[in-house]
Amino acid sequence: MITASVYDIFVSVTDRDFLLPDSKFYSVSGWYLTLMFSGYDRTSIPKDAVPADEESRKVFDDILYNVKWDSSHLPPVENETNLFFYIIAAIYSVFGYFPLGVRFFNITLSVLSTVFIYKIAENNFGETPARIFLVVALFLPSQFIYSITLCKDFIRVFLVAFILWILYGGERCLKR
Amino acid sequence: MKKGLRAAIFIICLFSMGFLISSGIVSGLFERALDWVTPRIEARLYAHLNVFTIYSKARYFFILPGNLHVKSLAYGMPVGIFLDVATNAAVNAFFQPLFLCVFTPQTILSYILFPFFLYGSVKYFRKVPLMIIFGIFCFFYIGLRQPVAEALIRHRLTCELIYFSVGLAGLSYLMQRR
Repeated sequence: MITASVYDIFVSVTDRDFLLPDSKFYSVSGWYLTLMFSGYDRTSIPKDAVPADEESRKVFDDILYNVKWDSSHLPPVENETNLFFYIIAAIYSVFGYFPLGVRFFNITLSVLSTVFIYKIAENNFGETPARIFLVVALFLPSQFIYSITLCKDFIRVFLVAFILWILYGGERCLKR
Repeated sequence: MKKGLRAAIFIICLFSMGFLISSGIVSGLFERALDWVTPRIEARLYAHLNVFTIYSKARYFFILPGNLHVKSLAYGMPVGIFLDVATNAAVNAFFQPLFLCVFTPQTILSYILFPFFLYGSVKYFRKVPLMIIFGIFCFFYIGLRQPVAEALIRHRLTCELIYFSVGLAGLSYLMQRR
């Protein structure tokens, strides 16, 4: 979380998200949906709600004029990208424009996925390999680095880990 | 009694198999499955072929070797080419990135754990079959789908936890046996 905060400050200051260049697209799309949830529609978005930097404004204008999402015409939750927009919108609806909140959300999903797989390993492979796995997985570069970005993949990772946990011993953990 | 039951089941299975094969149901299903899979793989190959245009900002690509694209698009998808494509996809998914970067320690660990992953998959298949099958197919699919290194690393997050857990389980089992 400290790393995520430092990275968030870096991105805010330099305006460069080198770990995941798509971040701005997700963040701005989520912000647009937040405005729709807050009662605005395409024609009534206030000027100060439009992002200030040029790249974000381009994304925002693209949604506004080309994709044309509206409070009566929101994107259907048919894939993980759209689902991620709604999750970002939910976070922004509570805290305002707060990308660090999305980073914390991703970190939570990453840690929970690791814990679920750890529980499966503990139930099926034994305690020693499960503990080694926990140490390795929590400090795995890909998990560690991408969990501090606005990466949509952690929803899928979490769902897979959660379903596998239910299939392989989740109920036993709950009974204990 | 048990032997009689087994023999009856065996005969019923034998007749059913004979019926399914001779009536063409199996070959029909196989052809339908092939018709479903082939255009999808060809679409991915086409994407690989146009990778430099599609992902113009990406830094590291890995594409299929030689003239495999041209061959597969010209001659369809015979078994040999399909195996080449699938093996290439799996190798990329398991072992990329091959260039020096922040993920290099993880790549080294992936290399070390690969034989133990295979051992663990065999050893623990009866305990966690779905997890192992899903992990392996997921690696194949992601390798086939993503020709860009950065995106591949991100997309394989889904199955790499499975890979490391099974690999470490295999390693731990072998060490405890010794």
